[in-house]
Amino acid sequence: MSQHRIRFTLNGALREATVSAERLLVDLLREDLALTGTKDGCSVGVCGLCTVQVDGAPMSACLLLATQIDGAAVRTVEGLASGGDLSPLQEAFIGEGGFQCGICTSGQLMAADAFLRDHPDFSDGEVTEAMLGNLCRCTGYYGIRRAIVKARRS
Amino acid sequence: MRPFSYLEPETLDEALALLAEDVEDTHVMAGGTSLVILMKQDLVRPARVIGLRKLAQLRAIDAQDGLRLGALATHASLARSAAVWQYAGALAATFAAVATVRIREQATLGGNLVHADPAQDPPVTLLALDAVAVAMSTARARRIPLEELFVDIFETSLDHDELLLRVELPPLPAGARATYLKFLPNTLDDYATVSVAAVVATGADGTCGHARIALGGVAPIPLRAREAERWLVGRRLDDAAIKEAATLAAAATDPLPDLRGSAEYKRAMAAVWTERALHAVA
Amino acid sequence: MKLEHTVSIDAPRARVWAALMDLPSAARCVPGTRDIVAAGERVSGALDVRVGPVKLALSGTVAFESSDEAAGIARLRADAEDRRLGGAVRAYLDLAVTGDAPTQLRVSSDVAILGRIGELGQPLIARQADKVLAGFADCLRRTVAST
Repeated sequence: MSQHRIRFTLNGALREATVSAERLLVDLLREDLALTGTKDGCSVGVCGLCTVQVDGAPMSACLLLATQIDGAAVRTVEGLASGGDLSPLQEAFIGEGGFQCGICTSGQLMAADAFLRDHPDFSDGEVTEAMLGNLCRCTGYYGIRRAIVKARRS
Repeated sequence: MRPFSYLEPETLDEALALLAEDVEDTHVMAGGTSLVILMKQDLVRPARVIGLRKLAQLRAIDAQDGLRLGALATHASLARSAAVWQYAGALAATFAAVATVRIREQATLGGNLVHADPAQDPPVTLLALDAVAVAMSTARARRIPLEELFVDIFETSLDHDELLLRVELPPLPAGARATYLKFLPNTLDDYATVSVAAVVATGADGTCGHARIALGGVAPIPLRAREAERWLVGRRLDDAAIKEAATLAAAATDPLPDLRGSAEYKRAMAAVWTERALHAVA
Repeated sequence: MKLEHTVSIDAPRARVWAALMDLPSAARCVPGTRDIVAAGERVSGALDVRVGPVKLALSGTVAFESSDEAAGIARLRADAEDRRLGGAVRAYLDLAVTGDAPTQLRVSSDVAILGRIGELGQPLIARQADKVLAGFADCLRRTVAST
């Protein structure tokens, strides 16, 4: 019903949009901004598929109204690579079999990226707890964990 | 999601004035983790949502005469706060136990308290720390001991035009030890099946001088086990005393059966986990 | 879900029974009801009840399925739906009257929740239904005792 002008940065670039009050961030990203890397899974913030970073913090895009990112720096999976080069984390996911169907991968990457940045000296045991909110039906999590551990060393 | 009007007051006075307008179907949004889900499922249909995100002063965390926690502080910021850690590691650990990192970064202390799910983590430890909620409306400011805030499952004693501003905690008694234990038999991101917060302080003679035991998930509201507390004061915290306290705590519960367990199961677990919590701080 | 409440009423049994048989009047004793209208044998109305943060607006009817004054028992059937939410409630209420000044009234109900209302969770719904039932029994007790 009410319309709102929001200004935010998206993967480092300044963006503006006019959104209705009920617009969800996940829909803004996927439909209005054509960034379909972020997925909408359970719609209730549990599965982690829609994980994005808002001012560096991992959050569920399916639980955020678009108005809530006004003035914030948003990062999505599309922002991990720079230029044509994948990030070390992304390379590690490829090398260690961190994905199969790929549906959870964007969320896994965004969660892991935040974790690596905030806890550069993490112990292997801390990976499980940090990543427990990102569900995967395919891999059994082993490849995801190996990839994160590998990325720590780079 | 149904269309609605979103209002974002710039000041606390503005927010309170909007609430005082008493327009029907007005909801307040802090982090939004609970409200957005309810709205997506069409279970609540606000005509207006008042977003609090501009009220930066409500995010403040400071150590003043104990501890003061702003209602808009996120669980993550509280879990990371040096002031919270210094006050009681168990309190910081309680905020760190909430759901997942994403929820902790978005959801707030105030939103958590007014949501009033009896299985939530923060209220349990806050109860054991004698927390007081500070609420305000255009008409008045109120101090509400946390025990009096929770009325029933998903129901608080706040008036519709009141806003929770912060939670205040008194200084802990000298030598007090605190712990928060969360029984999670299913997944680690779940609500507790049963949770216990225990705070005790023992005197020079080794007897208990201060005891607080609070339980979550065992009643329509988070519970203080007062009889168990009274039992411990003046006694040495040996195995027998702890066991009796745990029995008393379980007897005080009134669990709602749900998918996490029957009433009998939760009552039994209340005894088990109270015993463990008391051993942890004895 | 099965719920039950018993109240003791300071009134003769006949008066308690008469109050129960006056369905529109008894219906008004349910907390949260409004727009109670008698339509022949049935009573229609609305019931507003809060289940957590959700406001239910139930509308429906209640009617006697059976009554036996000599035995002091009666059965009511209530059907209501919340069209906005998309859900329904169906309840059987068994009333049993024993004793005489004071008179005991036992209200037992068997409540079925259908549709989206069920999403609120059985524990929460049971708790609120229990409150409504307790309020009903208590209101009857006060109303009959004072007439």
